[in-house]
This record gives sequence, C-alpha cells and structure tokens, in this order.
Amino acid sequence: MASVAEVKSAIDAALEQVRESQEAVKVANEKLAEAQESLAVAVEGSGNEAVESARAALAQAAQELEDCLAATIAATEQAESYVATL
Amino acid sequence: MSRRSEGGSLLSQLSARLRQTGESLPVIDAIRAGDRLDEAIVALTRTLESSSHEGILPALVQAQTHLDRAIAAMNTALESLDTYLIAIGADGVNAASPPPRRRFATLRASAEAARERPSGLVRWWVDRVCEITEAEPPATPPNRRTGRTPQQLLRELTYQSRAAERDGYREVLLRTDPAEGLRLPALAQPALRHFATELFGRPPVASDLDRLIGITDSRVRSLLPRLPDTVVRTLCGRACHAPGTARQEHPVDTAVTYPVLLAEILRAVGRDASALAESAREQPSREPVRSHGP
Repeated sequence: MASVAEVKSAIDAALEQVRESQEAVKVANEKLAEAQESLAVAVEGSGNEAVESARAALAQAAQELEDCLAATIAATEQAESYVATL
Repeated sequence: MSRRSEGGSLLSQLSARLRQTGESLPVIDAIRAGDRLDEAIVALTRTLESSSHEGILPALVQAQTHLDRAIAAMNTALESLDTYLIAIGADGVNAASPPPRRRFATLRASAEAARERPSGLVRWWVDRVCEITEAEPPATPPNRRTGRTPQQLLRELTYQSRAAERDGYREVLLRTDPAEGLRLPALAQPALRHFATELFGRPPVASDLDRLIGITDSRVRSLLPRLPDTVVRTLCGRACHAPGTARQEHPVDTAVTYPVLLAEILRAVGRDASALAESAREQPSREPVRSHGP
C-alpha cells in the first residue's frame, strides 16, 4: 500500500521530467526564432512558393511550441494543486 | 566572366546561408522535449488513476501533440528549403539534374522517425492490453482511432466486450487511444452503480459484492484471462461502496475491465450498450465544459 509521501515523490519526479521538457521547448523556441530571422533576411524579396511554404511552416512550428509550453504549464499547475491536497 | 564569377559566389553564399538555417532548426531539441514529456505521462499515469485527476493527463497529451506538429512543421520547412535550393540551381543542382543528394538528411530522418515511433504511453497501453489478454505485443501498434467522446468510446467498448471474443476485444482495445481509454473509469464507475441499482432494485451495498462478482467474473476471465484477481473485486466493490476498495489497480486494467463489467450487468438486466446513453443523461455531468468533444 503506497503512502502519501510515495505518491508525492512520484508526482514530483514526473513534474521534474515535465520541467526538463519545458526547458528543451524554450531552447527550441529560441533557436526557431533565430532561424526565422535568418531565413527572412536571406530570402527578402523572394516570391518563390517554396520560400513562402518554408516561412509558413516555421511560423506554425513556433506557434505549436508556444501551445505546447502553455499546455505543460496548465498540467503542472493542476498537478501541483493536486499534490497540495494530498 | 567577372560577373558570372561574382554571381556564382553570391549564389553559393545564399545557398550556404539557407543550408545553415535549415541545419539550425531545433528538431532534436523538440524530440528531446517530447521524450521527457512521454516519460512524465507514463509516470503520472502509473501514479494516478486518471479518473480523479483527469485534467492533468489530457493536458500533457495535448502538449505532446503540439510538439509532434512542431516537428512535422519543421520537416516541411526543410523540404521547402530543399525545393528552393534546387529551384535556384544551388550547388550546381537543378530540377533537370539527376536526383540530388538529400539535404538535411539527418534532421529529416530524425523528424520522420519521431513521427513513426509510438509514444511511451501507447507502448505501455499496448503491452498491458496484450499481457492481460494473453498475446504477444505487436512490433508496431495498429493505427489508433481518435476523436470519439468518452461516452461514445465507453458504449463501443461495452458493446464489443459482449459481441466479440478475446481476439476481437483485444483488437478494439489496441486501436483505442490510451489518453481516451484512461478517461473511461470516470464515466464507467457511476454507470456500473446505476445498473447495479436497477439489478437489485435498490442501490447496491457491500453484501451484494459477491453476487455482482458472480455475474461478471466468468466473462472477465474469458476476455481478460491474465487480469489480476483483485481487479473485479475492487471495481465491483466501488460500485457497492464496499470498504477496502481504495486499492489502486493498474490504470489500464481498470479502463479495459469496466466495459466488460457493464456489459454483463446490462445483460443481467436485459439491456444492451445503448442503455449507457440513458445512464449518462441521468448522471450529473462531470465535465460540462468539454462535453462538446474534441
């Protein structure tokens, strides 16, 4: 039979993994912003369809990373709130 | 001659810059983030029975979906950059040349592998379903059906647990999205009590536990032969509000056993899975905000 301390410890360990994930997402976000800027400078003036596709794809990737981060923050808050009730 | 040489140099510089931009895309960082998230989801699922804390798991699964989409979008961007480099004749390669060496090969292969790889949560679900139904886990899990509301999923699994034999029920379970399957106990537990009340003509109590187990146990053994002995007693005990039912069973065991219990109780009262819609209407909704479905 598990104790409260064991449950808390297991949740804390899982939340640590979520935090590591959040750090990796933040790093990815920064690198993606730099890549977007680099692409914008390099292809300024181009109307090529492939360039537009690359720009749109990077914008979508950035939005997905933001949404990912928001979802992990929401989950973490709920988990922490639950731990507080134990 | 001088202009051609200068133009070639500028094109090479543009090409190098675009290659560098592509190589800098954080595909590997996103995959690493997904791996950590995957481990967290499996660990939390093992720790919590999602019925009481159902917001946490869906939020993390949603986060993972966003990461998958981000990786796919970066892969699309790499493809587009490659297409553009071919279109402008960079590196002396153009559309009329023999197939060019694939650019960004490592990143694109990583992105594609990440898309193909089943998540830890899926692997965990599939392995457990196979274990309790006595089967070898498939090397590649079958494609999963998604987008059903928890009510629809519960009705379908309850129907299948009565209509199908073990192989058929296992197949339906393997095609169930784990994040959706793990939400079933929240709906199934009050439904089981509802129909047990109909069976006994009054709310079930602890002394009804053995009778409830007697009605359901044979079918559970047939469909889930390796299910631990305690699961049926724990779940039926909760329906009867019997003491000693706080025991935490494996979340997958709980999720896949409830439909079988419901099907057998419904059989005992002469009803089928369609009666679950009626039960759901009579139960106070536990999730009014999300009842519109995905």
